[in-house]
Amino acid sequence: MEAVPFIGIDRHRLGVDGVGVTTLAAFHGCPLHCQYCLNHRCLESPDGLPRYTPQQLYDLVGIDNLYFIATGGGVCFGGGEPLLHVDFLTEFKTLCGKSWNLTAETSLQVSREAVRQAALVVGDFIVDIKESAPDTYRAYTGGDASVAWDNLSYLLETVGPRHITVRVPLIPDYNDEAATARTADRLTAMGITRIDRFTYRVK
Amino acid sequence: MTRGKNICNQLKEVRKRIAEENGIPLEIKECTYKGECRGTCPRCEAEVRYLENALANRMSLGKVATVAGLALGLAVPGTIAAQDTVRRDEVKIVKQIAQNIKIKGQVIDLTTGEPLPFVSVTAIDSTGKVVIGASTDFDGYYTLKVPEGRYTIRCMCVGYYRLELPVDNYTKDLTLPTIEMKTSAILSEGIVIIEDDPVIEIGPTGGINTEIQGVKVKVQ
Repeated sequence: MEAVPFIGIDRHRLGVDGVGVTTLAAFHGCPLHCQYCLNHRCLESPDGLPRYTPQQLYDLVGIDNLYFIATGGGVCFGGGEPLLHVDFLTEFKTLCGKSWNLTAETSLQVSREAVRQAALVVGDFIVDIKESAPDTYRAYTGGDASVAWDNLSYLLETVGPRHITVRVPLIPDYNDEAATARTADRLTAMGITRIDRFTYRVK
Repeated sequence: MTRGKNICNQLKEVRKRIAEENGIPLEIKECTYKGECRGTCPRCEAEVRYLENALANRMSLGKVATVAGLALGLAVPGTIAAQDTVRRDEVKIVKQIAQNIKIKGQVIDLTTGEPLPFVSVTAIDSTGKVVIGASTDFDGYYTLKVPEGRYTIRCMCVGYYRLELPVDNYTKDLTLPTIEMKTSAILSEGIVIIEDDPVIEIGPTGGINTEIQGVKVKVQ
């Protein structure tokens, strides 16, 4: 497999990206264009970014192997959109085996096949669902909300609610408390049990 | 307390638990690092390497080494369960790949002769694709289950040279000769040095935290 670009690697994230000590590996590339994007670098040219094959990344993050095993942690793949690189994730899992837990922070704005493959190798999903109202979702992200929500339903059927945390942000100028409550209610109705509601703070 | 210092303290607790559980003497002195704490520093990293070596030594003496899940209670975000992260689907894919023959063996440190745990052992096919991978156990043993075929067996471990056994045609279950890994060029016959820099460092994060360049918002 060819090396793919990453916008960064961040070690020793505790209680941020899942259980235990985790290393965040953030892929370049994203299908969405969120108005308040936190990582613009993932949408710009990949020139100059570090590139890794699964083996190279495995060797790199293995420096924290002891911490991963002791705390039940591992690697959180973010970005960007990690499920655009599901073949990378699959090969990485063959290298790290069961001793590292893999987490993916995803918008689920990918193909159903990508979600299916990811569900085989990713232990926990953190889904950034953004919004339930299609118009608001499109205005904020430029994407189609139904893709994310349909994939979320499929993911829920496939891996179960214990392995999914859904982030519901209050996005200034795009939605409000009532809208986030509606999104949370919809998630609850479909069987999601781990819902993380928070607020974007515009600087 | 700064974010970095908080991380440092939690990692220190993990190291302390590993040491205590395995009877490894570990004197954690008061930190005198003057710069901004980023959660780890050369001394912290040295303690991790010390523990890795001590665990390997312990196992070489026939003692049990305990690491897995020792510090599960630390750094739990409260939203994702620590248990049951290996699901049935995951087992299924391993079973789909694993079939036909078993390639087994042991990896040891060439200098000390001690078994090496946590070594990544992979089978690479003729296209360069990783067919299957496994980590050595605490006694340095590994088992790869692969279809019959021609493979290169690759061994990787932080702090050691990467080794590759020459490509061979594997048609039946077999136990490979003991693989000896070292940080020098003293190698067993038939093993090739692939890389000559055993030191792996991870640099600054370069833009993942909320305080990165170009940030328009900050997530609470």
